[in-house]
Amino acid sequence: MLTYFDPQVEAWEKDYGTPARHSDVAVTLHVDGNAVTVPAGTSVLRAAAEAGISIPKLCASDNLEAFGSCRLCVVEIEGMRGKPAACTTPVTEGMVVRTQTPAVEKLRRNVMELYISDHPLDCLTCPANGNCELQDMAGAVGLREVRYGFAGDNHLVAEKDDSNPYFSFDPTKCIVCSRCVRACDEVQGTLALTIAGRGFESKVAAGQDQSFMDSDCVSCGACIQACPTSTLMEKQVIAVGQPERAVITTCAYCGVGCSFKAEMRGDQVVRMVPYKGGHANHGHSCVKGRFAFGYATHQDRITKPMIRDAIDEQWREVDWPEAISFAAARLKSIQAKYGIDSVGGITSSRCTNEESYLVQKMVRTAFRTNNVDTCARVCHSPTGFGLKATLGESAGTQTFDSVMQADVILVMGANPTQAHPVFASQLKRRLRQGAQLIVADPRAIELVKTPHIKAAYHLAVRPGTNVAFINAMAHVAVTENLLDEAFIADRCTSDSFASWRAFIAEERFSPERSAEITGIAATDLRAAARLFASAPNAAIYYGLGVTEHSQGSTAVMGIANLALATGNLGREGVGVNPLRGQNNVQGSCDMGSFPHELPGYRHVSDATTRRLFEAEWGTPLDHRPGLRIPNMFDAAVSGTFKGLYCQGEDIAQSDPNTQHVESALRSLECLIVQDIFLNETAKFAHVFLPGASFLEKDGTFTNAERRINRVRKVITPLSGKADWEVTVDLCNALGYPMDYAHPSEIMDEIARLMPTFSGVSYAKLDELGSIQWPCNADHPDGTPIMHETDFVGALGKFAITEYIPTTERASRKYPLLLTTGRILSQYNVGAQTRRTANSEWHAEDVLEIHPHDAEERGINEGDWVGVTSRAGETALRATIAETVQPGVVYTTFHHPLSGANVVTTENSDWATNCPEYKVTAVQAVKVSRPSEWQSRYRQFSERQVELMDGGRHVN
Amino acid sequence: MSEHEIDRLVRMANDIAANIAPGKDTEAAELVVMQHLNKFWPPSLREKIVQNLDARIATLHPVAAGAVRRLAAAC
Repeated sequence: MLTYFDPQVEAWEKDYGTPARHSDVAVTLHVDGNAVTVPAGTSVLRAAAEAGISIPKLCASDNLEAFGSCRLCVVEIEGMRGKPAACTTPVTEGMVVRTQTPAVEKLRRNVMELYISDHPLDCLTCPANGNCELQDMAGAVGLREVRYGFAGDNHLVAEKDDSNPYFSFDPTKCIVCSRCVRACDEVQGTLALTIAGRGFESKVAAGQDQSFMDSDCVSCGACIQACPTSTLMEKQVIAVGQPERAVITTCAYCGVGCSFKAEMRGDQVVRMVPYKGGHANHGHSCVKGRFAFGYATHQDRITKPMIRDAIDEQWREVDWPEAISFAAARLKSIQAKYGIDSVGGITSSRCTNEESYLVQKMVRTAFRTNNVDTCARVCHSPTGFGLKATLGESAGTQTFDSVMQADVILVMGANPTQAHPVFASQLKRRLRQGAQLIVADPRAIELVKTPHIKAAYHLAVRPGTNVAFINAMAHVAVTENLLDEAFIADRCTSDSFASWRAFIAEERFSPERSAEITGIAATDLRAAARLFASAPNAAIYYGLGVTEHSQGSTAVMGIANLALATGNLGREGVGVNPLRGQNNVQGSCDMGSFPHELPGYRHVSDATTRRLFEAEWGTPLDHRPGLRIPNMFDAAVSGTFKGLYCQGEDIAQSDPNTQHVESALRSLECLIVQDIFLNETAKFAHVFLPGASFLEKDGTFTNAERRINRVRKVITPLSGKADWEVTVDLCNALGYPMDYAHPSEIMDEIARLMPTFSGVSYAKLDELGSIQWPCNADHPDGTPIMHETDFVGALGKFAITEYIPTTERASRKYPLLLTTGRILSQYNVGAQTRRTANSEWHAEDVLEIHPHDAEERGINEGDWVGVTSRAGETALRATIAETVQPGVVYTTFHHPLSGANVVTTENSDWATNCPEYKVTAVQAVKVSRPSEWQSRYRQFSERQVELMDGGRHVN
Repeated sequence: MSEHEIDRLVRMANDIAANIAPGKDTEAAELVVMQHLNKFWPPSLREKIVQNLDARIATLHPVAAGAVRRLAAAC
C-alpha cells in the first residue's frame, strides 16, 4: 500500500474512466438506484464513478478519450438494447443504469476469460504483481475458470523489446487495449505508437514496426503509465520490485515544474511517476523528469567537503566544521586585505527558493556587500527588466492551462518540444484542436511541422534581428487598424501609447522595409501579423532565443508592446509567457538574487524597503548596487575581486567566452563551489562543499507560471546536509548568526518581507497543492492570471523599441552565424543528464550546418569541423541539416569539451548584460583533430580529477 | 584595472546609450543613461568609467560620454 504526504492525493489517484466534461447543462441519472447529477456530455462510466460506483474497465482511463474496446464496462440501461459500454455512452436526463446484473456479470466474466486465455499466467513472478489492472479486474469480475485452455494460437512467444534504456516492452502481456497508443497520441502528441495488423494479428508497434529506440518515441513515459498490465514497464521496477510508498515532489529540470510521485522502496527511488494532481503537468512528464534521476546516486557524487590552498594542489577531504571554518577564514582575510567588496556570491536557479534567499541574504549581511548575482543573468534577466518596464512585474502573465483557450499562438525563440516538453504536449493538444501557430525562429523547430500539426507561418528570422521582426509585427497592427483601442484607452498610459504609435507607424518598420534585415518575406510577416492581431485570443510564448541577444530586453519590451496594443493581456488564452530554462529561474530572481534588488524586485536604494530588511535581518544594508557576474570576472582579472561563493551553477561551462572566465577563476584567491559533482567550475575551486540533489531536501521551486511548488525530501542528504544548512553554517562562521530549524521557517521570513508572498506558507502549499504568486490579502489563493484589472496598480506602458543591429555580424573572416540551443534528452550543462542513460540519445554536441554551406567547405556528415570566432576556437562533429538556413550554424552546449562557449563572445544585452549566446559570427572549416583549447582543457580536467581522487584515497 | 575591463565598460555604456537615445533629445537621453548607470552599476564601475572618460572619449557614444560627464559632475 502506498502512503503519501500530500493530503489531496487520494482524490487525484482515483481514475474516473473518462475525462471530465464542462457544460452549463446538468444531467441527472440513476445508477444502481442512486441519483447522480453530472455535466452534459459525461459518460455513464464517469457518472457512476462520481457516485462511488466502480464499473470494471480496462481500456478506459480518465486522461484518455473513451475508446470502447475492452467491453468490460458493459451495463444495462433501461430503454436501450443490448449491453452498451459505459465509457462510450453519454448520460441522458432520467437515464436508469444498472451496473451489476446477472447478465452483465456473466458477460464481463466471458470477456475476461477470453483475455486470460491468451495471457501468460505468471502473476507471481510478474513485475506488475500487486499493481496490475488486469489482475484486479479478473478479481473484480469474479473470474474462476478459463474454459478454452491455453493451446492453440496465442501471443505468448512474442519477442520482448528492451531497446529503450528505461523501460521494456513485453508484448506477451499485451491485451491490445490501445491505452498506450492513445496516450502517445492524446497526452504526449508524438503519435509514435500504433496498432499494426488486424483482428488476432493486432499488436502494438512503435513507428514503422521498429524498436522503441529506433522509432519516434520520445520516452515521455505516458504509455507506461497508461498500460494496465506489465507490457510496458520501467526496468527499475523489474529489477527492484513494486514501490511501497510515495512522496509528492517537484521535478528539478526545466521551468515547467512538473509534480511527481517519487515512488520509494526503503530509501531507494524506484521510479518517478508524474502526479495527476500537479497543476503544471496534470500527470504528464518527459524523459528527463520521468527517468533521468539516477544522477542523484551516481558514483561521481561528492559527499565529503574538500579544501586546498591552490588549484594545482591535491584536494583534501575534511569534515564539515573544518571546511566551513577554512572557507570563512579565507573570505574574512580576503575582505581584510582587499576590502569588503572584493567578494561575492552566485545563487542557483537549480536550488530552492529558500536556498537562493539564504545565499543572497548571506552575501548582503555576512559578506556585507551587494555583490550577488544568479545564473538568470545569462538567461532571463531581460525578461525581468523588459516586463517590469512595460507591465509592471517581472514575470509571465498566465497559467500553462491558459493555452487551451488561445486561438493564435506565437512561439518566438523557443523550442518547447525540446526544452519544455510537457508544456509542448499541452500546446500541441491545443493546436490539434484548431488553434493557429506562428513560429518565429531561425531554425525549423519541431513544432513547425510535426504529426497533425503544421505552423501557419514559420518566420525564419535572421539571428540578431528579433527587434526588427517584432516591430514589423506591431507596425502592421498599427497601420492596418488592428489595435484594441478600448483596451489601450482603458489600460495603458496615453502618452506612452501616443509616442509609441507615432514611432512604430514609421514606414521604416514596415514588413517590406524590414525584410532585408530579418530575412522574412513581407507577405508572410504581414499575413502572420494580421492573423495574430485579429485573433480573439492571441498568446505569445518566448524563450532564450528572445532574451540572449544584444537587444534581449528591447525584444521583451517589443513583445509586451504587441500584447498591449492588441489587448492580449489580463484574461485566459492570451498573455506574455516567458518559458524559463531552469527549474527555479523565476524563483531565484524573485528571491533577490540580482545585485541591485532585494527580494521582491525592490531596488537596494529604496530606503523604505531597506529599512524593512534591516529590521528583520538586524544589520545595516548597503544601498549601492553590486557587481554583475561578467563584472565580477573582469574585476577578478583586474585583481580587485578575490573571493566567490558559487552555489549550484557551472559558470566555467555555461558563461560566454570560456577562456576569459577561466582566467577570472584562476585569479581568485578563494573560490567556494557548492555542487553535487566536481563540475567544471569546481576544477578551479579551493573549497568544495557537497550539495544535495532535489531528492534530498525540503523547499519550494517557482516555475515559469509563477507557481510555487513544494519540493519534499525523499532521501537523506548524501553529505549529511541540505544546501540551506551549509549556507547557515557558513553564515554563522562568518559571524552573522542564522538559525532555522526547517526551510518552512525561511519561507515564513520571506512571506514577512515580500508583499507578493505574504500569504504563502508550507501549510497553505500543502492545502492548495501549489500557489501562483502574488498570494496576499487581495489574492489569498494566489493569482493564476496577472493584470486582470490593472498593471500592478498602474497603467501599462509602451516602450520605444529602436532596432540597433548587433556588432556581431557575418564578415568575410567569419561568414556564418552560430546560434545555440538545447535538446530534449539533455539538460543545460548536462552535469545531471550526462550521468544518466539519456546520453544514449545525445552522446555529444554536434554542429548543424546547411547542405549548401557544408558543400562549399567540403564538409560531410560526421566530419570534425573547426569553429572559430573572434573569441576562440573549438571543434565539433558536423551534421548536415536543412533545419538551419544557409549562413546559419547551430549547436548545443550540453558537454564541456564541446567548447560552445569558447566561441561565444562577451557581447551582451544592453540593459542586463545577458550574453548574446544566440549570435556569434564564425567560420567553419574541416579539421582533423580537436582544437588547442579542447586538448588543453581535457588535460586540465583530467589533472583535476586526479587531484580529487588522490585526495580521496589518502583519507 | 585592466584594459579588458575598461573596454567592457565602454561597450556597456555605448550599448545603453545606443538603445536609450533614439527618440530623445540629447539632454533627456543623457539623463536617462545616467539614471540607468546609477541604478545598475556599482559605484566602483561608475568611478572607473569617469576616470577613463578623457582617455576613451573617442570610442564613447556621444550620449554615453555626456552621461558619464554628468556622473563626474555629481561625484
